[in-house]
Amino acid sequence: MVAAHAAAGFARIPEFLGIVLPFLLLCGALMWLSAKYPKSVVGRRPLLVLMAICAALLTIACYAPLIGFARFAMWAFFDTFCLYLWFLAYAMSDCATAHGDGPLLQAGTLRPFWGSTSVPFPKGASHWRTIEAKNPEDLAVNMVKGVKLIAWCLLLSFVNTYYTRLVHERLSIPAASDCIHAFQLGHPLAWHLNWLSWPDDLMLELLSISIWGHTFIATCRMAGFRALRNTYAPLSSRTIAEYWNRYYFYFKELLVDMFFYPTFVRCFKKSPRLRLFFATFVAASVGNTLFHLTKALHSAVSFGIFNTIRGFQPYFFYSVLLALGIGLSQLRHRRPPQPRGWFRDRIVAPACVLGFYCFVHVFEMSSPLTGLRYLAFLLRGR
Amino acid sequence: MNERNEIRAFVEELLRRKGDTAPFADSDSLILTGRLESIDAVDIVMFLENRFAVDFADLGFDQTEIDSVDLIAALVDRPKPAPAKK
Repeated sequence: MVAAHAAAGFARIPEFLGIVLPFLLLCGALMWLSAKYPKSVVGRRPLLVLMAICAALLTIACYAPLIGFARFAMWAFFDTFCLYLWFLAYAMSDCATAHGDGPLLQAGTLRPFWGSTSVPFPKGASHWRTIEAKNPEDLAVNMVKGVKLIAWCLLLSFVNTYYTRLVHERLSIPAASDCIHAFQLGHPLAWHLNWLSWPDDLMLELLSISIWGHTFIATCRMAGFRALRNTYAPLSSRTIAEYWNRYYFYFKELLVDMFFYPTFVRCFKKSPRLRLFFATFVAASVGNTLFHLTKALHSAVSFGIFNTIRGFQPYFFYSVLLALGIGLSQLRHRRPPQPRGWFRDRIVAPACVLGFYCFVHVFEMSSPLTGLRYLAFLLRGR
Repeated sequence: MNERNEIRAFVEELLRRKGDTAPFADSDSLILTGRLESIDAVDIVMFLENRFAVDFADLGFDQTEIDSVDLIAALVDRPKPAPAKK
């Protein structure tokens, strides 16, 4: 029993006092400051404050002369802070509003029991208040919707299992990462396998994100919240921007809330199109990279700060391509596209959208140079 | 047309463009329930900036404050900060 507790961590008082308690105090202090001084930088720019704290903690963890437990505690504290960073950003924003809840209630929204990634599912407390069941009928409807979603999720799990068996075991289509790896080693796999692996990878990713996203949201609905689905019919998307909205809704919402709107309300107010494009670009490139960087900063313990940040150059390149695609798509289809016939709307447009995401996915999995060489190989066939 | 009617007409037009002609009350949530997307909020922001001189850079943007006609009308009615003296 004692061993099991020790393996689970925090079985000793020093670990609680050195990591958990300071973290709780920091969270409480940040939320209290946001509520007490909503017009200050803590209330108005919570993400900026959190990023500054993150940078300070990382610098201390990397360069302070800490050894033994102190070093472990510092890194554990830093990693925990990064895991809660985006939850805290929502909580602090909410505390700063006139109708915001207090820190204790906000704490209940940090990593809720139905599960989440580093992205809050659904968004912060203000969002929870809006979607919470208002009466027993609402609660019943939400719970039934939750059950329906979990049934759909179960069906998708079966599809995922049989799809994987069919494509990977029967048809022997390799994973896209294996194709890139073989290409890098100078022994590329058969050309047609390379071509087939990318849509297959996208399909597997869609199935996977749908399954875990639906699991979270279904449980959340059963708890009485009318949360929107995380993934909603992405294969029917007719534009790149629409797919981005349907693929990973809560991540997109996080980028919109934390990066898009703050940029949109401040920059290029005289030029509506540039304003929209720039805000989209900042959210989908800078915001996207920053989000993923904060998730990986713990690896600075092994590789150092600069190597860890340098390691994100390929991801930044990928996110710039993605942001260009989404930004231009948004400008082009400022209004919902007009119906252009069943075949074009249901087949051609979604196929083009998926083609774009397969294209950028190459750069998500490799450096820009390797990605370009690999694309040339795909087009040339040798 | 008073401010509330003007806001309602604008929201109706936004919904109509998305093919959503279902009725809605002034208090109904529009963005958080998914009837309008985040990107539609951009249109509301620009409408409020241009028509009612609301400056979100000063106010701070909160999506929940433009989630219904009632909330938008309350935002427009809110006293605006005095312009800085030169």
